Amino acid sequence: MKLRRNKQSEKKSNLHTDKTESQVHSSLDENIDILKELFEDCSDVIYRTFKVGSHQACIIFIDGLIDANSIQFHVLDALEEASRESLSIEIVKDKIVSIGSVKETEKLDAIVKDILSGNTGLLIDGLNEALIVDAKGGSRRSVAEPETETVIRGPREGFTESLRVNTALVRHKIRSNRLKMIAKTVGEETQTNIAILYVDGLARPELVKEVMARIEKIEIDAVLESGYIEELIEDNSWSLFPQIQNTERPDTLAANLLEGRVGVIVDGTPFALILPTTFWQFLQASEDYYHRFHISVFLRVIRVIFIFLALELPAIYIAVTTYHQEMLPTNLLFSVASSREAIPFPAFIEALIMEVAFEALREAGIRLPKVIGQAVSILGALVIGQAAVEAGIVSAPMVIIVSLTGIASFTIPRFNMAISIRLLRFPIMILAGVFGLYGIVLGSTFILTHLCKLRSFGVPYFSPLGPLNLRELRDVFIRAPWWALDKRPSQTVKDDVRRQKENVRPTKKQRSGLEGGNA
Amino acid sequence: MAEPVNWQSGKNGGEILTEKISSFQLSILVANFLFTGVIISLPQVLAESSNQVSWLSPLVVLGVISGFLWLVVGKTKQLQRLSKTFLLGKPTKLERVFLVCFGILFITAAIRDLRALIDFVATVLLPTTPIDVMSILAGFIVIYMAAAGLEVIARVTVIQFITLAAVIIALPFMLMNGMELGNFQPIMDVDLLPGLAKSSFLLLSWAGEAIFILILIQNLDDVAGAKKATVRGIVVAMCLFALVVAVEVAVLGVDIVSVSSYPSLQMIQQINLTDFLDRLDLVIVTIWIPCFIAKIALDVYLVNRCLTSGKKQPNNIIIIPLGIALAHLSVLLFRNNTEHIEFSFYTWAVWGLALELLIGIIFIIRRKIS
Repeated sequence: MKLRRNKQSEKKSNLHTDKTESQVHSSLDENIDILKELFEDCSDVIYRTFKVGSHQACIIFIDGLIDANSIQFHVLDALEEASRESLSIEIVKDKIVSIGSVKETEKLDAIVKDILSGNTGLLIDGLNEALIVDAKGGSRRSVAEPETETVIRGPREGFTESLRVNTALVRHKIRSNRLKMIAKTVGEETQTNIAILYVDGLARPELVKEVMARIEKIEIDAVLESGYIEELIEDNSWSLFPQIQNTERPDTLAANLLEGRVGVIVDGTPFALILPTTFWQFLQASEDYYHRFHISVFLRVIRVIFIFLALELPAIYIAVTTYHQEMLPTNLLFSVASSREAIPFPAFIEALIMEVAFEALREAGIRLPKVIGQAVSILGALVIGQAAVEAGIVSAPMVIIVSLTGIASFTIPRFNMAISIRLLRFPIMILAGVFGLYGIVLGSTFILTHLCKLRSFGVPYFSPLGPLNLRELRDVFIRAPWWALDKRPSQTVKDDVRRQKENVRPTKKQRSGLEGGNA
Repeated sequence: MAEPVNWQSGKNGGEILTEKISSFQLSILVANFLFTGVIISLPQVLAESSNQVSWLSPLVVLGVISGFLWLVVGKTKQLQRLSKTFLLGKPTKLERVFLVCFGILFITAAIRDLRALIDFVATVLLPTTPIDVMSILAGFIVIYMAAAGLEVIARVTVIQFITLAAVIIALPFMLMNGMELGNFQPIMDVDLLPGLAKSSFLLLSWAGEAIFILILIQNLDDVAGAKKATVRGIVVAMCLFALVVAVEVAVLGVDIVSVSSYPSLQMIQQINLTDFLDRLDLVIVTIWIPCFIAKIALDVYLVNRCLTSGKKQPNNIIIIPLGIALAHLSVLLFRNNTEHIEFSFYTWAVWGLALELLIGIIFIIRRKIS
């Protein structure tokens, strides 16, 4: 029994002894035999033999991955109608097969690879080359509103599991030849197709080079989701804070590409990656840029306040009630003291019980079917909270604190950042329970230092607050009006920083209606 | 204003460049370094010496120290040339002497500051927690910040200090109700001049700590702007300190300020905006503590720079034992808070000043040699 996994290099060397490294044979039967040996026990691999004039031919494909109608019409029917005695691969490719994307190959392993990717291989007896016909199909989920990033105002299309559909969605947003899409394959067994997107002239060449280098370094058996790539290429995988953003929205990806960032779309998942990223991007929603700026300013300020509450509120409550009661106004102090009088646990244990229960409820709510999930969550929160208070396990102020904290964490637009803040809440609570306000301050200072220390592909994670860049704060705590956001972020774009013409607002005359409009 | 971009991937290739800070960050580092330490207890001894004109001592010291540093740093072109050779590679004998004096100065400063923080927290926030435990906690966070490097210290300091400065500037408005301008009288009396001179002397060594910029010359993005940035930092720190002392005198009066261990804390306890917002002292303390921790982290970082100057091994290798040692010494070397305060007020005035003068002179000589 093998106890040790083969190294990737050993696996690669094993492939070289494989027969698929060989050329396409001129004998169709020989080619089919090799492929049948390779695809032994693969019942979804179909071999359809037919005649082209006097030549025997065969198409090989995987059932469920191809567009059967296209193959039927553009390949089978076209070949069967062709009445040529002398056939060459060029004639077949240029004059007979009428499908959009066709390429020829001499290697059997290329045929295998393409068949596994959803293409169709065409072999003709007597020819040393094969044709690969791109007629991918099969049933995939259609474009729909993203479930994790719903908006009140904005486009309602989201990425799907198909790479090509996703790249088309982005191409639809950025109709420019400067939008580049570099194709790569990762995953030894899954051979997952990915596309690295960037806008030439905006994204720094060093950044693109670095992204490609990190992706090329990946040697893994499977990449089933973009999260694999995210963890394998991020700067500090030990950090609780995500250094790469993910999104289901093509408009979000397009906007970030136009700010000099790089996108990575992975086949098989609707979550595209955006890098480099900063902490503040996780507090931004795409609709911040669609509403009028007054609304966006209000929402962003709310989010900043609530991210602080989500992190610190239970800890502050614990510290104040345990160590610094003098901070509370007298009336409030009496109220809290009377509600806590019968509670057998210290504030820290009380908070821990409620927080853990709340997290369990939240997690359970995600796993339950939608129909009953919401009802169970609400009932659970109400009943458990109320029952716990009446049983004297927790106090009413604690239930309010925990509920507020939960609501505060929901205001964070990005789930991966919200999770990080939720996780960090617990060590801060422990520090508050043991060391009061001093513990909170030390914990917060530690987190701030960590945030200032992190980098995402060379860009300081906490910029433009650390290091301070006043100009770029216009799009952090507030969202300046569009006519004021005339420059791209300087951390990501070096050369083409200007994104719009100066003075794009209507002139005074236009606004007063004296020029070109009704008075 | 923005930090210069260092292209660094760190994980999979790419170069990690030397840490660079901008002039703005240097100003804030200097301001934080000077202000956060003096604000704890120093107003007491200043008020004791110069009574109601104690708020003038920071302004006097501002001029003296700015002039001293202007002299030490010298001409811009000379400084630019020196930044390419000073403390790079194996140190010369003169540079070794410089490093020894520098190291002693900031080891003492770090120990003093750590003890100040621990004593303050023990008095105000956690009276029943042993100071050893608090010193370990403070030590950990200081080590983490110092090991993160100068850029990180600068970023954290900028964020925290701007918040603190905003609070300090808002203090006169928040305490307007409690101010009595009669506490400043008599404003200018010739008899008060000797007292003013004494309090300025006591403050000189604290303000002179701005001399730390000399070891950071090669970390400056704009070496030519170093002098102005330093003076800006000193001006901000001393003006803010003058404001604090003035408000303390106005609100509490000289009699209370001159006997109170923590006059600044007592002053902010007088803030009473509404019935609900009358206990803002601990809130303001929690804004000040991270600034002070950043200062101590910079102390430790500077000591580490002294000890590892010219060495081939990674710079952070001794920060952990250094931080732990300093935290431990801060508890061992002072028997109680009184001893620490006496050291801070009287011993440091001479000890610190002497070392700063020596460092300044050595730097001038080194500059002339280059």
